[in-house]
Amino acid sequence: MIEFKNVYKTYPNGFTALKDVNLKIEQGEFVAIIGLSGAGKSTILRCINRMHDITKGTLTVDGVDVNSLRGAELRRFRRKVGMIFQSFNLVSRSTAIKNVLTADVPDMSFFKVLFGIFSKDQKMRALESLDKVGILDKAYTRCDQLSGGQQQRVALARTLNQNPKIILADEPVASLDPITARQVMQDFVRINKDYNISILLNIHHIDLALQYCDRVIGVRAGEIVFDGPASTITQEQIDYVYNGTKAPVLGDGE
Amino acid sequence: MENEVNTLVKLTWFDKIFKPQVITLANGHSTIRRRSRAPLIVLLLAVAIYLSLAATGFSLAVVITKFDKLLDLFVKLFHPKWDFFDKVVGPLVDTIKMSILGTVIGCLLALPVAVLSSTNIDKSRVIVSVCRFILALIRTLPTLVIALVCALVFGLGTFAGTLAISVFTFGIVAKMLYESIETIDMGPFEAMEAMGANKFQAFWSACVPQILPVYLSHSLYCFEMNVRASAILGYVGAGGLGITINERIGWRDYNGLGMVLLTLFVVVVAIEFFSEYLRKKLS
Amino acid sequence: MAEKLEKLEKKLDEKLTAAEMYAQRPRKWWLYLLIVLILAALIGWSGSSIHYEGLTVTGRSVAQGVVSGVTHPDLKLMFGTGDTDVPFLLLQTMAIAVLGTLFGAILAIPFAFLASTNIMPKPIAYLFRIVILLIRTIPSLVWALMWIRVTGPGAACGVITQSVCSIGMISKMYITAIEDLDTRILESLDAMGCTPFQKIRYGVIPQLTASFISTTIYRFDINLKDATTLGIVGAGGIGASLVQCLNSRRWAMVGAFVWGLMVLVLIIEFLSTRIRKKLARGE
Repeated sequence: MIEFKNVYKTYPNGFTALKDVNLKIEQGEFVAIIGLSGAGKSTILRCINRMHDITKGTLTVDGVDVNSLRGAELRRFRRKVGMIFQSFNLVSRSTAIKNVLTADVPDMSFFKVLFGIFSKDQKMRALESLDKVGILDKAYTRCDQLSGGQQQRVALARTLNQNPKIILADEPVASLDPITARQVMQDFVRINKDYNISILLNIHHIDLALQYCDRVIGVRAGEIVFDGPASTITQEQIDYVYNGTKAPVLGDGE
Repeated sequence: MENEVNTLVKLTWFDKIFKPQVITLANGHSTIRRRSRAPLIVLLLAVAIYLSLAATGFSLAVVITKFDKLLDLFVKLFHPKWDFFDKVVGPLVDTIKMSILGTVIGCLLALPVAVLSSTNIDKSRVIVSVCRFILALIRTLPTLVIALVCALVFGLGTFAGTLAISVFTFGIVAKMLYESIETIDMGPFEAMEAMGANKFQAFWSACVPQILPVYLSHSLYCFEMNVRASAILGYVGAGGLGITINERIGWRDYNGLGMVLLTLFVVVVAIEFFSEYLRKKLS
Repeated sequence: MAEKLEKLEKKLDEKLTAAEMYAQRPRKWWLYLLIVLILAALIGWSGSSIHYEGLTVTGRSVAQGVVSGVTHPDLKLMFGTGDTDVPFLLLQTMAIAVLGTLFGAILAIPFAFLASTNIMPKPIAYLFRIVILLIRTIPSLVWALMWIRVTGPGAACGVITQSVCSIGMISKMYITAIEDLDTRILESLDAMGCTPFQKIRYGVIPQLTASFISTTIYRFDINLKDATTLGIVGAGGIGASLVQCLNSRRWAMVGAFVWGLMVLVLIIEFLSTRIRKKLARGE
């Protein structure tokens, strides 16, 4: 369970990204965070795994106060939280399986990391993770030879390989074409249902959010202005989230 | 009007002296045209050439009138003394050995320093500046001067040459490498940190696979240069082919010199060809 | 036959399980082992004839001398105005590099065009490439020793040496620029009805100038460093005096020369990098 209590976040340059955010997300929920760019969507995600520090308030994940974690404790905590990025963040010169195997690196000894020694067991688990997202046949292909959708799946497999309880996805489909974007969204739905992993994703396209996610959180200028099941959101509420501008729909071209 | 012009284009000191021209069309729209720098550059260049001619005493007439001397020399060079080959092999092998060992030592030392000099990995401004400044200083020292000092300290021979090549390689590979490291994708590093890896694990798994091929490629390139450079180190007594070259020229044995240069040419071309093939494979 | 094919197709269509995929993994360890073995053998081989024989009898005093020279340079020499003092010698070194680079850059233009495969027929282009390679392989010091026969010792020899040496690298880089020419522009000029001369003037030259100038400036940087060593064989510049002082162990003078050299090279490198960055951005 993720819980935000009166969370504020101010960046060093003085910009206040989050204002009095209160949220409660149960294990196994599939949540979309919508809003304009710069509204604070990314900040919410990145505070959960402490890629950013919060300025005020408390943020607990499974009863642990995230802001009190230090060093090795923080790293151990991050093992349970997977993260997916818009630009995939794969080592593009390495093969898919090598990228997935990096999920095991934080638990390995110094020398095993230094020489890149992985056991057969680890390799089998990595292959199974690739199988879960349906690209097992590309396991030994270099990532720079994969399409955008395939690369995002490798990234997803890497995250699955760390056995997370929560997956944070920062604009996972923003750099994909419409068809691939839908396929990747379906992957997320499947993973959410099959493994009961909580998924929070930032998404630009309102139609994808409404179609695939159970719950929608609307963020506007650092404040939560809508929070409820995807089926209940009205057009007025959407307009309010997007500050009167037209909500982006898939296929608009960014 | 003046303000408007200033906001359109960032003006430099040059534009403050030579005010930009404002062109207004018939419909009242206007654009500005900055004065060309070409006349100033040409003027500076002309002055530089004039001063340089005066300082070096260079005259084309001498070159043309005495050109036949060079031609004589060239004719001899192109008729190499084939049986001299036996005496070339030994020093040539020494030269290659010096280059290999010097390149390896220099490149090994360059890797950590290059990492410390890259702003995207090393966040400490002080360490970055200090490392870069030291590298820049090392690169200013001519290899021959380093070789000469080494020869004076460690005695004539290949050890001094190897040391000089190591120093040269260190300076140049470290610079090329930190420039490349700054262009790598830091996304995977961020992903590793988000997965709970510490800095070393993240760097080793996310950055090193990107750096390694570039590093090897730079090292090979530097090796190519070193074979050529080390051929002359013998001139100051640092071992290898340079001693033979110096000797041949001293005795005015240009046919022998032709043989030395021909062998060097073949070896350099072969090494360049091989290294270019490897570097293509790496990228 | 058809049955067999069908079977094969079916097998290809079947999804592999993770265990099967693992069994099919590419096995490359022997390749890595081979590379490591070759490298180890090369290093071992090259290390075999390079021996550390300790310092020479005077080694320690030379090392101390260099340190004391650099920390206590001869200030009178460093800021003097005579023609054996540091400032004049530095200017002369720079003059050699200016003229050498300029002549080299001009001489390289015909070479580059003659050696470009997209302009010349392949046999001619490859012939000129071999000539360029020859020029590049002969060490600059050897060129200088040959030119001395023509011009006699002095800065003029340095100029002509660098003019020739520069052709090698400059034309190599010119060729890359020429072969990267965007021919679509020529097509559009053709469509507008331009003559061949007009096509060259407005289609080819604008594409080449920036990269040619950038190459020339880069080479100037290299030539300046090179000019500092040419003096060793008597081709003018600061090198001759530096080596003389080193050999006669006048450490304070060595210090003055080394400082002068470092400052000059650092300044030029800084300026050259800045100008080339500006050129690359198209300012």
